[in-house]
Amino acid sequence: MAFPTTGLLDNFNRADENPIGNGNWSGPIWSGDNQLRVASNQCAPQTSGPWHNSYWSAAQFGNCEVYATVPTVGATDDDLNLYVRIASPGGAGLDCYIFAIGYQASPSNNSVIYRVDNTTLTQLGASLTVDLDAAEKIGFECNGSSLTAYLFESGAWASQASRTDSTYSSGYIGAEIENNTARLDDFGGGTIIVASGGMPAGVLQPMGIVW
Amino acid sequence: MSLTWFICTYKRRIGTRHPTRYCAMDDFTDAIRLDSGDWAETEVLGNYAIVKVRASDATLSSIAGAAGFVRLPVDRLNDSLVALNGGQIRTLRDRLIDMGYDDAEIDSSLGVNLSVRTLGDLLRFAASRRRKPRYDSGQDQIVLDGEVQTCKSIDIVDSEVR
Repeated sequence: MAFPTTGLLDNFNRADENPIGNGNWSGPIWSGDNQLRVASNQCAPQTSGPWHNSYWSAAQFGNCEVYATVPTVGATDDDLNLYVRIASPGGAGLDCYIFAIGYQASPSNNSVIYRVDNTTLTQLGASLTVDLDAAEKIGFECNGSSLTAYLFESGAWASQASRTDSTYSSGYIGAEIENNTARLDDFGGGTIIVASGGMPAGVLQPMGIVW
Repeated sequence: MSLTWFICTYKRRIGTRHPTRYCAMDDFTDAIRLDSGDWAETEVLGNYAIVKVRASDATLSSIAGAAGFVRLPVDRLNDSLVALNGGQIRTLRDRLIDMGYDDAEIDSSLGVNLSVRTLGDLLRFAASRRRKPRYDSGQDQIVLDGEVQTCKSIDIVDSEVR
């Protein structure tokens, strides 16, 4: 299945904004954290504080995807995280799924897919090794009970791992930056677009023989 | 390379900003990957996971010898438990009780004689439910007493590791 199937939601090309808003963003996802902001036409963390997160509050999605470009990575082990199916953001009942990447120049077991129940994280499956570099893109897809983490490098999207969990079926999408260095840009996502005929967008359909 | 099943617990990840738990099999992820192996799990009742692993015999033996891991005595879901001795059957029943099932529920679903069932019967029963976690900040503990949740099916776990 092709990834992504949806267009950009926010390219952040506007005047600086703090916190990020523009009628479409809310935050934070976690009580007590900072919200993201717009700085120099990119999505940025605050200048101090450890955790910065916001969610696209214009719509909730079921089978969905989220992705962003990473123009600047953080320091070692600084996380860049994508969220799907967020419910009760900012509350003690926060539920969601997270694709979390801790930046490492020589990565080893630096990434995890989590399920969050009532603000408690459960790692799904094994730790992952994701070799993220600046100017690449990260993505996360939640299709039915299938959760798939993606990395865009060398000009193509590639699945990094898939997990299966059916606990949560819909919610908001969002993003998070740890500490104050990393940046995100070109945030996209939404409901997975299925091409006519029931095949997901981008999937080649077999050609029938016509007599 | 061999395929087999384990029961193990979830562990608390230390040093995280939010309370975080992980399947204890992740402690062996590096060893399993060195074998070009793989593992997948389903969370079940009582902070337990049922895990299918593909790895070298040496790695599987190492996992089986680690504290908190129970290697199941047969390897395939359609394997009968008939060849198990009384002690092995008792161990399996005790593990189900540790998870939170009681004898009446086990007997009702699997019968009083587990040896006439298959590994698949046993594991599908063990994965019949789990509970939603929450964090008790006063006790600094992750507590599993929330609403009943559906488990990832044993057959999906089986299909994920071949």
